[in-house]
Amino acid sequence: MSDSSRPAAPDRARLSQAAAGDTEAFAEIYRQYQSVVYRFGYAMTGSEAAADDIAQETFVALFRDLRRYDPDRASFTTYLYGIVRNLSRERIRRDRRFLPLDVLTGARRVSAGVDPAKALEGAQLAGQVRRALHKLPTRYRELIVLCDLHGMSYADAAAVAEITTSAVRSRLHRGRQLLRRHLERIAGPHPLAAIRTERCAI
Amino acid sequence: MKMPDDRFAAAWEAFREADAAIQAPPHLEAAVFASLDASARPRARLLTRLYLPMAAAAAIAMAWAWFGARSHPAPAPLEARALPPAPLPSALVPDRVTVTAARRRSVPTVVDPRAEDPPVVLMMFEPMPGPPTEPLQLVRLRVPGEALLALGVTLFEPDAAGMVDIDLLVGEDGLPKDMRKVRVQQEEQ
Repeated sequence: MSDSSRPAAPDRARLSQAAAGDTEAFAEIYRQYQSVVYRFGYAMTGSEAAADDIAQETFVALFRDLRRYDPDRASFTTYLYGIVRNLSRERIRRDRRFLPLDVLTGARRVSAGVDPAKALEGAQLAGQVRRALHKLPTRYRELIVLCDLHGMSYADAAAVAEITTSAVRSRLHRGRQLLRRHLERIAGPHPLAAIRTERCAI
Repeated sequence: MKMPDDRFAAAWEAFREADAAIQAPPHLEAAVFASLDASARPRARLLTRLYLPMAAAAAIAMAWAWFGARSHPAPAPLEARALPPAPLPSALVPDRVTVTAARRRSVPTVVDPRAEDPPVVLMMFEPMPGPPTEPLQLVRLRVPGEALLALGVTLFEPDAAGMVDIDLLVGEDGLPKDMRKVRVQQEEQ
């Protein structure tokens, strides 16, 4: 349950240029991290529109506060994830009364693959996991997204979530259990489970 | 019933693959940099609106003073002369000054509509932007009639319970594109 497809952190010179207001340097950082930030916002909120807003606010906040970033205190990735995590939590708190349509309907485009049936089945499964993930409390959801989906280490996730590493471990354990339970409810019984098998003697 | 590990792993793998394929939408970059421009604009606006006119005014004043000093000779210094004090006219001096506290008037203030033009608010309705081929979703809602009245929709008559069934066409951006009332036809017995 891990994915280490996160981009490499930008070098200090690039960060210094961006912090000094160099738009080209900032654009390079933006293109490097846009998908990661958008995916995190989408996984946390389950809504494309909210993910759009979160990504936009994240990069505006990053551009505004980049000069305050201290590379000796935390890695750039941890710093960026901290911003997007705080904005996602704020958005979730604000939109608590609403349930996003994307999660309700699983309205994610199915990419045109080689086998449409397989692609459709995969999209259906992915939609079920996304709905189950959205049912988790935020404190479990964010750690599952950070560690299991974005491949972040426990130490980095602890720095992002501002908790201890042992708390990350226990929350992840509990979150995975809850995720599996929600997924069981959403997905229903396996089709083969309805077939009663009997032991037979040959 | 407990979900088998392999089924859970397959579902998670499908989710992970679907998530990894997600890309930020192309319009996001333009929106981010437009926001950055907008946040940087006040400083530039302050520079152009305040400092540049002040500098121009100072330069004009200095140039005017310099040319004025060169073209006209300096006038002779004026001599100050003391004038004898003159008495005030009697019409300006009241016999007795009475100060009374202003009483709060309880009469409501009536503004003469001819005194100044009332503010005019123009509301313009425009069609929602979006390509015509945008995929839409139909959402059926049961809402109180007052909610529609608050939106300015008075065409839909609520039922006996004060509720209205409506169909909403929701676009990809989550905004409603169109609305219609659900008409339930009663089957005649």
